[in-house]
Amino acid sequence: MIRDIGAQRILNVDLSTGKTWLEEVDREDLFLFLGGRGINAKLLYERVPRGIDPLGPDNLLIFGPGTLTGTSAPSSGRTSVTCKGPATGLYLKVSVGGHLGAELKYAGYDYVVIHSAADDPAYLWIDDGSVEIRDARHLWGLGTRETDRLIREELGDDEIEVGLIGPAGENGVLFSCIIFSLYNSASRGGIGAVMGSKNLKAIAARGTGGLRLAGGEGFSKLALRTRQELSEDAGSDSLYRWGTSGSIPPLNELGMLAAYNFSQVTIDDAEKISGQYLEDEGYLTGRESCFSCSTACHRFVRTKEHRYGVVRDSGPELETMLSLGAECGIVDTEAVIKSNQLCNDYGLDVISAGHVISWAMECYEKGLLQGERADGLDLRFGNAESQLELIRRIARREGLLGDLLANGTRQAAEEVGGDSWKWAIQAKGLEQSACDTRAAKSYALAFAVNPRGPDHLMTECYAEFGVTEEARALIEKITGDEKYADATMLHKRSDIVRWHEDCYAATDALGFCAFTSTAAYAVNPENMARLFSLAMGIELSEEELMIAGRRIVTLERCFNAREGARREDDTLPWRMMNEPVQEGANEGLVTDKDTLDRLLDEYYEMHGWDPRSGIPLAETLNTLGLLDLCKDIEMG
Amino acid sequence: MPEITLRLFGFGSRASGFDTELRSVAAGTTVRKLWEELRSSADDTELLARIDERNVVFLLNGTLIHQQETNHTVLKDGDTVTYMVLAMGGQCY
Repeated sequence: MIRDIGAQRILNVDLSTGKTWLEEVDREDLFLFLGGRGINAKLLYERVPRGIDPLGPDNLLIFGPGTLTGTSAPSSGRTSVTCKGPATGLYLKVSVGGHLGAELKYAGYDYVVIHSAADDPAYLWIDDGSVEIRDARHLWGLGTRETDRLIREELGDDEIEVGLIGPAGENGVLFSCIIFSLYNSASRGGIGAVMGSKNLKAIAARGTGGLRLAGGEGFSKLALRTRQELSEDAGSDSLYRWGTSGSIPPLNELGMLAAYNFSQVTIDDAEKISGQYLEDEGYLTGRESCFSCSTACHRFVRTKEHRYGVVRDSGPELETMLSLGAECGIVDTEAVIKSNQLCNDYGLDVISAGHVISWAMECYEKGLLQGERADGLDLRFGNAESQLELIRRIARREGLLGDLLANGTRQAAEEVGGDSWKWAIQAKGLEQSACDTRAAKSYALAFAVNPRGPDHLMTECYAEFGVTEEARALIEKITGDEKYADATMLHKRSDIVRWHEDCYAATDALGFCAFTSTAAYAVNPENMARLFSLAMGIELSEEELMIAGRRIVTLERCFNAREGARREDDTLPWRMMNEPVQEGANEGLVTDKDTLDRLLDEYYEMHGWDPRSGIPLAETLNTLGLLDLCKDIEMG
Repeated sequence: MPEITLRLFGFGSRASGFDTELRSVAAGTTVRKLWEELRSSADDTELLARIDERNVVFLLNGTLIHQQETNHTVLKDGDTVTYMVLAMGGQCY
């Protein structure tokens, strides 16, 4: 079936009754929320009431490929997955690449909304117009790789696309993920546990249809031109050659590398966990693109020494190398490759997995987690064998320590007590990604206000470093002067963060990869708006696109406000606010409470949010057309 | 003559290699001038001579120096100047 790209359809699946039904997305909503992340947010706000248990049957799990996913727009294959998050109890959106999103589009669905929970383990098989809930009892307990293989075998088609969880999601680990297309992870916030709570092991899809664009020829020309511009961007080549972990040597040189649970900012031999080293030493075996991407930052590696057997897997990405490597004091290429493989197979978010382990290591070294509480493990920093064992135990919630750590650092610190909360690198219940928010001030603000907790995957502010010409030009466009391309400055950080929030939300909603719009810059708001207009046949300006992004951000804010989140929740991990950087060019830098308060005041004012509560003001909601939808929050 | 530490990353035969050396530079040498000297003394086949300058990151004592500032950033005794092949991704840099 060839469908009009603007005639979006929602497939609802109730796992408890087996009932499925279709809805159409109001076309006006598509212009207000753009699709993907935006429509997901609206559905979640409307249909998930305040106070529900994120792991209970009332939570929804919403899969929303971007509006341009399935087209030739460059790097547009991403899907937003949205629910109320179990790690934070707040809004959770996770973006993932791979090919499942496009397959769902070709099968005829723009959104898949999972309701309730199945009595027994099940998986969903979407084969064009046919939707079937199938028995998955034989798959329960299996790793992601084996499950993926068995589903393809069972359905008799190796070309189908699958999104699935591993044992960690089944066991309710609060940082379990969903794996798409074998090697792409919807990682953060415990989204895999939500899928597990619904007894849903996998979604498999096969689509043979297509999408009809209003202005097909013009769209194709602009998509091609944007693709060319993207290939000329200074950052694209390195992303292809070394992947994201190519950033590790410069981060180390800049004294901004997260090491030893963020207590150090450099580590010896850092290049051994870099993308450059993987290439030089022959670990790298191949590269792959997500749907419609020309950058191909995704890589494959294999071990050489085979200390942990012959390991073949994807990545490891920058965050993996840091969280499972430097954060735990492990500069051992083969060990990190093995840890990454285990996390992928069990279905664990590598960022949080690394953080809970590095937190446990610090607890151990400070005498708070020893003997029985450590389940007999030697948890000193640098012990790769203990890390591997802990990954297995966490995924299975095995033993006292495995079960403790499976709930993330916030809960674990509450149980262990003492000062251990001070080195739990989390806020709102989510472990921070490996960016030093003591030195980088836009990141600090963006992480503090991030509705899902402190990470870089809702708002990426790479431009503030001014590393490339394109980045400096963007800072000039946002602030009026490229001198503000200095990450340690406080001035203009609110402008930078808000611009990136708006842009990132639009990027997600249309299905683009954030690397193309907020790290490289060819998929800029102007190009996004033109591509959307050409696809739909109705004009959307750059400004309207950015306002739609802001509308999404504000709606997400309202979801959290309805759940009771307030200004005091917009914070950073204690260490980022209280322990200054101890060495290097950033020595002495910290984002203390006064600094963060100043940043928040400016940011709330710019947004039109109440500075006391952080809740959007009624006039702001009115301006954005959200007043009716969000009338149930306690407005400022 | 100021004595500085020169660090080059990614310009040798290995993408992951650092080359570090102590070097004396003429008084008044800027980050830019040293870079140009390095390029002009490199063999045409070397990456150092061929690389598009947009793909180079300049650091002085661990701090990023934007390319337009390299002209008036004078090297002092004890400085560490680093020239790196650009790499990005994941998150901040």
